[in-house]
Amino acid sequence: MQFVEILTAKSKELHRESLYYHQNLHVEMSEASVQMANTMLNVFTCLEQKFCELVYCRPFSEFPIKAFFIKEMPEFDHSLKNMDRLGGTLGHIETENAFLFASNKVPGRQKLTQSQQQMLKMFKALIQMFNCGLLDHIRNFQGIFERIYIRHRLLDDLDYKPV
Amino acid sequence: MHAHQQHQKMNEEMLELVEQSPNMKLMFLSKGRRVALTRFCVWLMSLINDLDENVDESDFVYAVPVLFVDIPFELFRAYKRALTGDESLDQDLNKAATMVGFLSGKTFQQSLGTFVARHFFDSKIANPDLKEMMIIRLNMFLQFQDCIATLETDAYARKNLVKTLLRSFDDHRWLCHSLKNLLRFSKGKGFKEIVYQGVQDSTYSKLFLLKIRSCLLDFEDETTKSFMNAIFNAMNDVTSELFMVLKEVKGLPISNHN
Repeated sequence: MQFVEILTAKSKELHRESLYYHQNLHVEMSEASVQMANTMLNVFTCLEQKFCELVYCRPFSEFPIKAFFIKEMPEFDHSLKNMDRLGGTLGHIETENAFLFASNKVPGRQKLTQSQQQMLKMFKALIQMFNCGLLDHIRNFQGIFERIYIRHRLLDDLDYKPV
Repeated sequence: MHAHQQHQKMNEEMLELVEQSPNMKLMFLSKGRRVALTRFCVWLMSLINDLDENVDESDFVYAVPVLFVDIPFELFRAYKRALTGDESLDQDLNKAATMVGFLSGKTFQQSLGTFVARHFFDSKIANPDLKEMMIIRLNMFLQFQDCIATLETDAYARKNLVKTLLRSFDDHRWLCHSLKNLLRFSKGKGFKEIVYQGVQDSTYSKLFLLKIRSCLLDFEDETTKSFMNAIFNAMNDVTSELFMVLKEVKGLPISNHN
């Protein structure tokens, strides 16, 4: 788990560096960044195997998803506090659903078992790896294909002769 | 610019783009990697759907980070559109490997379909960019006949998709996307369209068309009234714009481009 945490931190760092690299050089997909994504995907695949054994055979209700939005839980990651949520900011959602959040702040309901803590750590690592190592590449790649598609349609339009 | 030069410029750009693409495709050619990515995304989407379906705590779904939803949708889009074009990369995946434990009930496509049918036009999604993104995601889903078939089997979509789709016309900001979504139920089946050689772009859903028909025939229904209102308002706007353009071009000499 320690090794995974180091890897995740490293991936964050590399992601930050690659962002500056993109901004400065206007390079979309350098060979080096694809190599990094490749390595990250290998690690992701290995870690997912472990996640598969640990999580997929259990009901969804056992996974502590609430640790991502109940701030009073000890496992809540405060660095994610400002992350965009589906309904807006976390503060706004808390206000909108005050009663629901209050009923989940009872101390007894917040304690996680050891296996839940492990699940949470591993899940965070997988999300981080995907976000830092793969997501941008996938988006860039889709961008390339969409531009190819649009040009292909434009070329078709130029060649189009009504029957 | 001369047509020949335009052609040449576009061909050069295409070549440049094509040169950039193979590296990423190579990354996804390993089946083991694709299984891992798909399985993780199915689990993540099912987890969010499970939270959504919990009657007492369904509002917690709005507190889920946007990133958790972006990840499965981006991967799905890459599989469907970017990687292989018509032939999706998840076609030759060993489906059994992705359906383990509590994931055995649903495929990747089904789990995404359930989510998009519930939230593509959701008043509780506050961010306008995200709102637009959700409508576009439904459009991405409706571009494939097998995805439409998935929506047809989803209980929530069967019951609510058409009404929500008609309601989405109320918001002028996403009118072009809403219209595309509606036309997807009969694209390439009756309207006069340019059909490109080798591009399979037609989609059809008898079930949803019948539901739209029965909804539109219910004249007293509020959704029908506001949908018709939105359509006539939009037509009014377009006609006014057209007359403005015609007024501007009136009197201009007709140039011969040939």
